Amino acid sequence: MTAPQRILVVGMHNSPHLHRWVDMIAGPDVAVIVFPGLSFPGIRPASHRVIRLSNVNEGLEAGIYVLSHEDSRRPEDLIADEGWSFRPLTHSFVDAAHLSTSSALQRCIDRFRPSFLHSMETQIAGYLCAETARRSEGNFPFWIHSTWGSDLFLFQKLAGHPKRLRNVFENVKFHLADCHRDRMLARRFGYRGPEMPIIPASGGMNIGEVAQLAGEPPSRRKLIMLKGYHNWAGRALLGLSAIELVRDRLRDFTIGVLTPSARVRQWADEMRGSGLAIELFTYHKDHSEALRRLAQARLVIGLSISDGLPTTVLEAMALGVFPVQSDTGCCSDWIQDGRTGFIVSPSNTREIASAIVRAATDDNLVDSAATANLDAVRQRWDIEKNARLAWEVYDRALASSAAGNARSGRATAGGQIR
Amino acid sequence: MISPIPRVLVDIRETEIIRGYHAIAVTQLAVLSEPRTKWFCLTSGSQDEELAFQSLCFDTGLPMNLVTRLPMLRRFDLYTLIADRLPDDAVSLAAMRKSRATLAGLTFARAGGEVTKLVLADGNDTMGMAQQMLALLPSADRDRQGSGR
Repeated sequence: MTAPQRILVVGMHNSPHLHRWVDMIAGPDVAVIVFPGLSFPGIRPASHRVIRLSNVNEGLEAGIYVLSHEDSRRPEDLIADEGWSFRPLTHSFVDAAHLSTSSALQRCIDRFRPSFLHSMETQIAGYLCAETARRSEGNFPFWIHSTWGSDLFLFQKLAGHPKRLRNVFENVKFHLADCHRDRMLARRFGYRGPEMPIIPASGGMNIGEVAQLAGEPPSRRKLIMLKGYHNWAGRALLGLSAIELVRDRLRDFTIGVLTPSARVRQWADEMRGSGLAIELFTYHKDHSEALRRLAQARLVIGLSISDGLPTTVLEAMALGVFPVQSDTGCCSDWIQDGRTGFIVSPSNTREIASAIVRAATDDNLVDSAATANLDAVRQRWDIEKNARLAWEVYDRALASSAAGNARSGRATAGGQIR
Repeated sequence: MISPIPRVLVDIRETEIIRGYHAIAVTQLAVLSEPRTKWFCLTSGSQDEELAFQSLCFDTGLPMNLVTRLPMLRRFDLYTLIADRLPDDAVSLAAMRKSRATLAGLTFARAGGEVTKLVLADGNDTMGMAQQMLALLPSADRDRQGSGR
């Protein structure tokens, strides 16, 4: 019997994107350990088993394991950080005291000896890997890195981050972007590896199953959905302002606000008080129920100052929901502006309002977009197709990693190359 | 003394009633038509406001100033803010006093306070606000007397 491949995934262990990806690439001949980028307990699928560092070794049987957060940061690691003159830098909303440490990642690498390492997301996982690689003096595993959302587009603009981004992309062997924009940005920050296929961060879905949840054609639907994030990047209140500008033309519709932030709730209450039909939808734990709810919408509006490829947009496309999205994300890879969706400036509420009115009143537009969008996600967000693409990348990593180890005289990590 | 460069104070505080991200959106729309203006962004010091400010600077390519308190001696040609209703906190009132004119975009309440040289606008209409902002800036051709600087 062949020993399973060993894949070390570094990332936010409570992220649904990470869960979906790991589930997508799992198999009977693969042992995956998820190293948590943050040192606190996270929600995980039942099939992902928690493992302590003392039980990590090269002979793990196939399966998906999550390293215990208790083993991803130790008090003495901070002394090592000082010795390496390391200063943490990450998202503004992440407490640096929760970041896992390079020393802990190195301990996991030493015990597991992965065939390769795949980090997902940059400001937590990517920066952690870059720092660990710096300390490893060339003994860092073959490194694949996936960028998500705002990783490059927004953080290139923020003080201190460009240098950290260079530290990541000058060392990454394979970069997996979920859109063309980020491919180009990675090169600007020093990525020298080969061009990789573009795969959404969430991997893929069974599109047939999702599409079945779409009921009546979008032209008959009377719900307008707005993503309710108003925070460091989200700009839901600008969406509500746009709706306010054209409220008289939306009398026949209900506005649904998905997972609203506190101030968005207050605004929604105020707008409801002045006669607008507006409902708040809180987070749905059950994903298929959340999809059923989304399937009732005619259009979905998502506004932010920075984004990648929002999963909500892909889900909307599978369900016949017409996307109205800000031009600060990656949706132009998927949407033909004016035909299968609208790409708008998140700063211009008049432009957003015009797009909403057009999508709310042009039946032919939304019905024909539904057909084209379903076809697009069938082609590019199908879980089986994207699992094959991901494994093509992994196989190239395994081949490169084995060749590199042979050149440097190290024993080849992992079992037989798939 | 006549200054050749208009000075605009933009309130980017995102608070219970002040809509700083709306004001940033307005500035983003206005700024390219008025590159010669000197921009000051008033923040409460929150990291998210600073992030939005840095993003604005990057996108416009213009040098802007982030201020956490109003400068003692400096006056402004225009103070721009968007709020759910006209704010009456000490910082907002001081900013109004220090400015030749105030453009206040209100998102809900329409009634104003006792402020002179106040122009009220629809705070939901960012493009309309941007156009009003530009109209209120002193131009090089106009009489600049009484601008307070």
